[in-house]
Amino acid sequence: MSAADGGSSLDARGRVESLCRDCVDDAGVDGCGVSVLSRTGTPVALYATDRVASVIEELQFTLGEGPCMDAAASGVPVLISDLRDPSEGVAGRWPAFLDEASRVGVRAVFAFPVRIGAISLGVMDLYRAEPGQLSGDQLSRTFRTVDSVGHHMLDWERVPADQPDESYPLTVHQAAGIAMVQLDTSIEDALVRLRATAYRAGRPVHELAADVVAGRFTFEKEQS
Amino acid sequence: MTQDRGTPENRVREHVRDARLSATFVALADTLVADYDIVDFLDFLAAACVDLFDVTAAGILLKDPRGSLSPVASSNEETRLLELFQLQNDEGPCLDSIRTGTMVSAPDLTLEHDRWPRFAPAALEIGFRSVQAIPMRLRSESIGGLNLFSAGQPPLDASDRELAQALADVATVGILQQRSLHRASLVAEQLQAALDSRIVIEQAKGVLAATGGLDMAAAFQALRGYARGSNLKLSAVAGDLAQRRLAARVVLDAPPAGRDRPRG
Repeated sequence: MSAADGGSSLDARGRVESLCRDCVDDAGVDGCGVSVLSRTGTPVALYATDRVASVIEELQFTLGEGPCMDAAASGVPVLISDLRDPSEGVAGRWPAFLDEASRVGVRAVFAFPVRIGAISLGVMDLYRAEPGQLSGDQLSRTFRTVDSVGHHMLDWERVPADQPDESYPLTVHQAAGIAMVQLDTSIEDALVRLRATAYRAGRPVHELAADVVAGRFTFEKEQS
Repeated sequence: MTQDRGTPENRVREHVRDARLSATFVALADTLVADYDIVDFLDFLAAACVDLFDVTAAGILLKDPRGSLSPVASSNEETRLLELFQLQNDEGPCLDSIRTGTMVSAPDLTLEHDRWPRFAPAALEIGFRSVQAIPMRLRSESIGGLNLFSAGQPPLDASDRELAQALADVATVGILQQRSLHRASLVAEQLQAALDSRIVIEQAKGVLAATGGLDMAAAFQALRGYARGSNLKLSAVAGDLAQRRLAARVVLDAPPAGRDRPRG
């Protein structure tokens, strides 16, 4: 069920890879990598657009520090436009990572947690050799990409790669909480089941969610 | 308005409101300590607006980093109200206020069908007659808006509007934690954190609603009551519920807590 077991659906995985490649252009960066959170909460590399992106991620896993690790632990984006700028306050936070990042010529790192509310799925890391912030446009495009990556990472097997990429209205998250109780399962699995049920019925997820919230649709345990 | 201020009744009313206002600012200042919960803070502010302005409902929408508007706090968690907030991604006073960076007033929504063909009838159907949207601005950019809805009360007067703008400004500062504003990327980080917390809260509301047979408004009351009663952050309790680290029954069976100031 979790992305860490994944790989069985080339479609969803292929879609994440192409989202990463597009994101490099959209965000005006040099490379991008995605890692998934293992069951213990530590990130495992899933895909990188190039060698430096892959080194940047592996370094952080090995050293146990860096923007990606902080984003994974806090669930909040960590956007560092210049690793050498003292006002970013990173020198004391990641001393070993800064040395290594500078060795491979990386000046800016932007780490985005991939999450859907309480569901933590992974982290997406962007890097650039040149310092500088992401523009408002680049940021909003990247946030959209991160959302889409999350939608695909949630369930490799059951969700088709052509699902819409927009974020869900709040009722979908309420319905996931309800489904979690009705199915006596985890919030991750509940959202997957909600989505799969909507997909099988040929309905938009938010429509089924509204029925679940209004009590017009109830999930039955052990019915699949 | 000013000409009525001399009557004893109005002087008393002003006095009561001044006292409430002082209490509100003290409570808001208390929440602006390190590591406070943004959603808690905004939830308190929404409730305070209902008290201070004698409106029916207050809500706060933030422009998320993707560019869409998301409700993060509301004095009333009724689903239809949240939907009314979400409708404003397409049209409505809050969207207009954010686009122009100015306050938008609609004292009588029955006259606004042309301006907002979907929003006006939807708001009227829920029972709102007037709305005031106050922008939350950071320098020249609007990060969101405060919405005040009224069922029948007269619209806000000039001094009310000034005060509402001051509260919206306090909320903006609260969200962005002024001390770190030299880092522009922090705005995106903070907004994203607030929106993610809101999703966790929706998941937890679902858990509580299904377990206790409650509607979403009552589920939120239970969540908030438990968080305040145990001196915990709203989003932390919500996360524990959604991750099954905390049993829904424990929250539902906890003695109800009064409306108190939020915890830092």
